[in-house]
Amino acid sequence: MTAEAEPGGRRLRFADGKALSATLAFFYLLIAAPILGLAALALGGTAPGWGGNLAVTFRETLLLLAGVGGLTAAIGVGAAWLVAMHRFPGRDALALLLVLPLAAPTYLAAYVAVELTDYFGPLQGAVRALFGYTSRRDYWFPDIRTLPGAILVLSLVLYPYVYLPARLMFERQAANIIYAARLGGARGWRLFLRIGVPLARPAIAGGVAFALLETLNDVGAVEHFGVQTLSLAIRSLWLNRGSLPGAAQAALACLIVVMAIMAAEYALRRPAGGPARGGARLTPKPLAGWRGWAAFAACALPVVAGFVIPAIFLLAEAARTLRRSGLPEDLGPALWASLSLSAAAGLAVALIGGAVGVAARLLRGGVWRFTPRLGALGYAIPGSVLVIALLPVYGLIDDGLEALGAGFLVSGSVAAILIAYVVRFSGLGIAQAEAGLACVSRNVDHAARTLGGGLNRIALSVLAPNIARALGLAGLLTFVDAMKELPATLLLRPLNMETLATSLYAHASGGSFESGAVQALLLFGVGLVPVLLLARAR
Amino acid sequence: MTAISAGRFARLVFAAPLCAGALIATAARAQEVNVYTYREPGLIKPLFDAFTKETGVKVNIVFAKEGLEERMAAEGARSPADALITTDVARLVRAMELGVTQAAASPAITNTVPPALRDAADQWFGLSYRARVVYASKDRVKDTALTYESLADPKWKGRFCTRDGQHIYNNMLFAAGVAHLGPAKAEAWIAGMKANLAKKPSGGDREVAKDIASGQCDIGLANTYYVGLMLNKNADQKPWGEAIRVILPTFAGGGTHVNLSGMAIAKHAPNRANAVKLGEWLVGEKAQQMYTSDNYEFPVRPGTPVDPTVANFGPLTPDPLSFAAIIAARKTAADLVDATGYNNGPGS
Repeated sequence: MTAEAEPGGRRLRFADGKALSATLAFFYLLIAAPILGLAALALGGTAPGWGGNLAVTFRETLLLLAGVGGLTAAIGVGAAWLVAMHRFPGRDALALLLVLPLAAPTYLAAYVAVELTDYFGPLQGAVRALFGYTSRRDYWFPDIRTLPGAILVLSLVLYPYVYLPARLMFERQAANIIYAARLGGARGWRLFLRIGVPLARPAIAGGVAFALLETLNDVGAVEHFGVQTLSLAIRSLWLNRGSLPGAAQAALACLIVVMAIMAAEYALRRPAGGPARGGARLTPKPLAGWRGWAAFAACALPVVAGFVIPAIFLLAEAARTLRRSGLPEDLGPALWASLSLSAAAGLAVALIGGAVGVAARLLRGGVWRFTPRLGALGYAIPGSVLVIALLPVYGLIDDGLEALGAGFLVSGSVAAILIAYVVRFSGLGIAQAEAGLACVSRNVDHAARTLGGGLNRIALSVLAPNIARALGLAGLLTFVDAMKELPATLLLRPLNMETLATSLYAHASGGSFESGAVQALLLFGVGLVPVLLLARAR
Repeated sequence: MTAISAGRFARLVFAAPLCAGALIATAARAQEVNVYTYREPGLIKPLFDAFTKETGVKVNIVFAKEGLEERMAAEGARSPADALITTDVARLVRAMELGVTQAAASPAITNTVPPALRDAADQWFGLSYRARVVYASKDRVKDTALTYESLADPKWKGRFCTRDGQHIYNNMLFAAGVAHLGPAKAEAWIAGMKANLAKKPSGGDREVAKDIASGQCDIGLANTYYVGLMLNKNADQKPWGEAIRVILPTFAGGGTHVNLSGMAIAKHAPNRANAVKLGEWLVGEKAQQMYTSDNYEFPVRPGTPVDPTVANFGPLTPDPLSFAAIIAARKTAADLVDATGYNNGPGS
């Protein structure tokens, strides 16, 4: 054991810690597996070229990312600031409701948005009824199946990734600074732009990074909107040009772009003056008169557009489906499969996040400190390619299991899905663990050590209780994401198993997603429970 | 989807943990057949249910949108898959190339399915097919016959709509164009269609009908079966179906582009006999009738009467071009869609 000098306190460093090291080694293997699989695929042949549309693909991808990044940041931070700093009509309810759109999968939001705003939807129907138009050529109406439409719809379901951490940041960690600024005379917009936004920078960076990774991963929504993204180009390389190696190479290239995003996020996440201490809580200031109602409207708008309207639409469609054909036969098992898989994923991701975070803090050697960065890699590979890369890995594991006479296989089992979830979502757990640990002074480690605590004791009895809440958050976020996850669940699941998401997708891919409205509604509804728990997190 | 009582639902919910407890992939068991399928469960389940009712063989399925051949290859000899059912012929050929298929070796299948609709080496066979055709506005388009080539005619400028040019349905059609016209003329053809687009390609095939119904486009490309589904299976979409007329275009000197949905027996099928039994049943009279009456496709079994909605399209002359030639041209077609900027939409 040694102590290393570092800004923010001297670090306690253990050289031993077999259990923790073994956990980490296992985690490394898990994360490395699909990357190695991808590399093996990439080496399997030459790329057939990207065709002549690469410039447009890059432009549209970047515009989509910039748009979603900007809009999620604006909605997320703006709403967080209003809710954290002010009292206005409906504020307490809105503080919760603002998180709800998170429960909607992006492709579902896309289908619903198109359904509602297209020619035959209620909006245009009302316009025609009002003015007596009879054709789409008689009037102008914004087309949702466009790049701006995609930006708007994706942002409306992804902004909670920014809103949640930004609100926590304003309410807790930044309270003292905001008090001081208020005493110094800063008010209104000035306070928001000069003090609020810079303070929320780490939260914005982290939240926007997740929103961007979700965007980069989406294929269902962007295809429906007619936006040409890198993920679609990769899919075309694989499926139309028959080049899985080419697709793997492109995915690896994509990985580099994403690592740049992650690096930027990491650079921005470091709080300027070390981790802020808790303590003071903000007292929200009342907004009187029209200002209060304006704040209400500003916060209610994303909730109405991102949650209330889609929920009403799905309710109506679900009611119709129920009247027509009763409860879908596979609903019970699908619900159970979704719940159990997502819960298991949440638990696993929280545990792994905790172990990695604690190891990065306590184990000696630079290598452990780099580990947390690796956790995000699974998020960085387009989902469908990640799954294909995992398949041969499962084959190898099964070879080993067979040689050992284990009597069960990973391929085609629930374990295959769970491993994919862990690879994909472990970044969430690690990020939360790190954030939680940053709030525990290193002096605590030393005090525990002085009192005779060993590595495991410090990890389990001192640090773990302190980050339990952060890990709980990670588990909830993972649960919500796993409920929505599609590519891995779809391709890896055992025979006859459906989840809510796959069942809904089966209807959607037949061209009538409304007939999957019951599943969609349930997916939405179940997702609300953890989302509401998230919203209440303090 | 069938209605079930609340009591049954409750039992399902409580029974589910027991089912999910089966962590281990099921291998061969008596009177079962395991199918990996790209066909949506909603379309294929009624067929499987009828098969089970007649034969007592239970059908277990995994439905996915891509990657099933790769999954079979990775699973190797351990794969529980007995059969692969795809919605297009290219995936069948890909499965064969990956070495995950075996010959069905069934005279009942060989004698039923015409040679053009099955593999010469018996590695896969068709179950049904559909044509990729023109949807035209009943009100605004007078033409009753068109060639695919004529879709590049400037008279359609600002009137033509399709989904993503890289979507497999368009990719296969454009590949057929490449095979017919050669790459240079095909590029001009695709560029011409692009110049005629009324809007950036987006949505699915049903959106083509929807956009025609709304007046945004006058003609577009889509598959035949959606017409039947819109007219007969979805009250909301009926106006879309009613706004359009189907024209069966042909390539000059060829026929109408069709694509095959079909089946291959898995190389390591643990229930091979049942898989062949399923294949034989699916090309049999009853199943073939269901393919056309429930899903508005063309049956592969000669002499099966087609659904009235389908018959309404007029007589179909499938393009004599071989599937192999079309598949070989897919990459070029994909490259041309990129080179012409087809997906970027009009005015780009």
